[in-house]
Amino acid sequence: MLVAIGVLIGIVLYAFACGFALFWVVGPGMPFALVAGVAVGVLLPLVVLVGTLLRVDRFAAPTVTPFDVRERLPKTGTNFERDGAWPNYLFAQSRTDLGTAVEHTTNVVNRMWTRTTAWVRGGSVVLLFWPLLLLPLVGAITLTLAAVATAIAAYALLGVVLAVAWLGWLLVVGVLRGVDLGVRQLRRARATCHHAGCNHRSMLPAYRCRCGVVHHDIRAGRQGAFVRRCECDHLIPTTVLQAAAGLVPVCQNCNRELRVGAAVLTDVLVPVFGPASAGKTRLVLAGMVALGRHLRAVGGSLRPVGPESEATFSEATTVVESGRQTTKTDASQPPAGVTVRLSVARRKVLLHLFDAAGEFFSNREQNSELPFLGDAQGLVFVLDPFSVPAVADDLHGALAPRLSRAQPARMHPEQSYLVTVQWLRDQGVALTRKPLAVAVVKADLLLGLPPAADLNVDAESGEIETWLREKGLDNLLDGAARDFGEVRFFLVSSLEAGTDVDGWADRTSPARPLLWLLGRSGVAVAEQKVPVTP
Amino acid sequence: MSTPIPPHYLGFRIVLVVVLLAALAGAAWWVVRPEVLAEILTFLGVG
Repeated sequence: MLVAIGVLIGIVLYAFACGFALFWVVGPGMPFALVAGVAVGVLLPLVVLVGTLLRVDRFAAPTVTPFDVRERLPKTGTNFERDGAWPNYLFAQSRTDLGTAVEHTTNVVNRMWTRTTAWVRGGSVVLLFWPLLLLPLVGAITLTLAAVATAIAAYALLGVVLAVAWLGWLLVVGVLRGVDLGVRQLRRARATCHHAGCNHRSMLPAYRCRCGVVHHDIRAGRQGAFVRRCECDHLIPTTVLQAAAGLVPVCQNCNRELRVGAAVLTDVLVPVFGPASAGKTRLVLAGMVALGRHLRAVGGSLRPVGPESEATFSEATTVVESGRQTTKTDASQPPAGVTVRLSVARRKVLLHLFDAAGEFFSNREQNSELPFLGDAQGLVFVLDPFSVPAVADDLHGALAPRLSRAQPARMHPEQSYLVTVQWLRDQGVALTRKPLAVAVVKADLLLGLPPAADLNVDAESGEIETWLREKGLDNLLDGAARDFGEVRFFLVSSLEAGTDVDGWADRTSPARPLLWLLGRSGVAVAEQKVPVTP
Repeated sequence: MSTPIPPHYLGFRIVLVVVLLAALAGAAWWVVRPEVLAEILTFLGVG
């Protein structure tokens, strides 16, 4: 009985104490717990965010480096992976920073709840003071809610700031890319790989940093708007126009160095095709020399670009000036392009001349080793008149030595033409948009002979065509007219440069087909002297 | 990674910190206005 009374009194006293605590401690303390919870909850995510952004010790987020870009940035639209350059803060590091701050904030709140619940679970005696526990409980709940609300608000605010920065970035990138591409399109600039067997052409070359890292896409983007920072810390411009000033352009296909000025200067690619021994190499060599003289006469200039081109140009000058015979072109491998830089009427042009051995034009398999054929602005077909049966058949008796001196091509011109053009058609090359210069070479040997009685040095394109038809080349000429957008015929003597004392190319100069094709590519060069009126 | 962090990382971070501190300063300014402060003190029972 006494025990029961004692228990009853105890319960009453405990209830009274609880009521007292609730009324006199918890009640007045509750606003303070609420305000303190809100204050700490508001400050917590902000302090953690500031600590993370300022990289304060353990708050610092991991840094996204050039070695992480392949995982952290979207894949490129090209065949290449992301270049080894630092990403822009907006696209990788910002997410890492904000994500790390969220992680730290969540950890703090979690730890607070874990410790509190562990403390309560640890001692059942503590639960006897449950009214007093309401204060920290309310404080913790308020803190958590305030932290969540503040974090949402803070991240929304930073999101707006980053979105504005992103819009600015988008504008800058769009303008830079547009101007860079637009200027180069207007100039008809391309990056042509002159290396044998590659000949890849594109609007955007790769660039090699001084540290050796190749950047395949330097354009403004996720790895830099105005400049990009290579993994070696070197700054690289984000426009091809600027990059060309100091960086080494590299072929996107074979990784070898391109000519200086690639993708920035007007780029004209002219392959010369025709059967072996037709006189292609002679035409190219004499054509270069003649073109150089002609350009000087009109106030421009021509200079070879790169050591191989310099050597070829030097050889061309020697061959043309000495009248020495041209050596047979190496048929064991596809040719490297000879590049000359032309300057005419304030316009700078890279002209690539490709001269493959005639064996490459004898069958389709070998044609396929000449990728430059498909992407040329125009082509030169070298037609050896002495390989035309109607001409050769007329050169007998006393004239037979003239035929052997001409060393005529062994293959009929039509066959060589058809093999190459059929291959180009099969490749889907839009030939109807390309001009074809048909160079009827060896004019120095041809003119004056009975089969060429209807020809003279001043023969116009139409007259040359008529003469070729008379010699039975109707099929070839009809095919050419059908295949190509425009066909012009030239009577060419490649024995010499064919220029007058002032350097102007005469009617049979090997520069004539090149001048015409340059004109068709938007590089107009005066072809004839303007007569001076007294 | 031996190369230093790009300066633009720091630039962006400083901008974000400034924005946060400005927002915090704005919130503090709003709280310490007499009418709001009075409400809070009243809520706490000390006003």
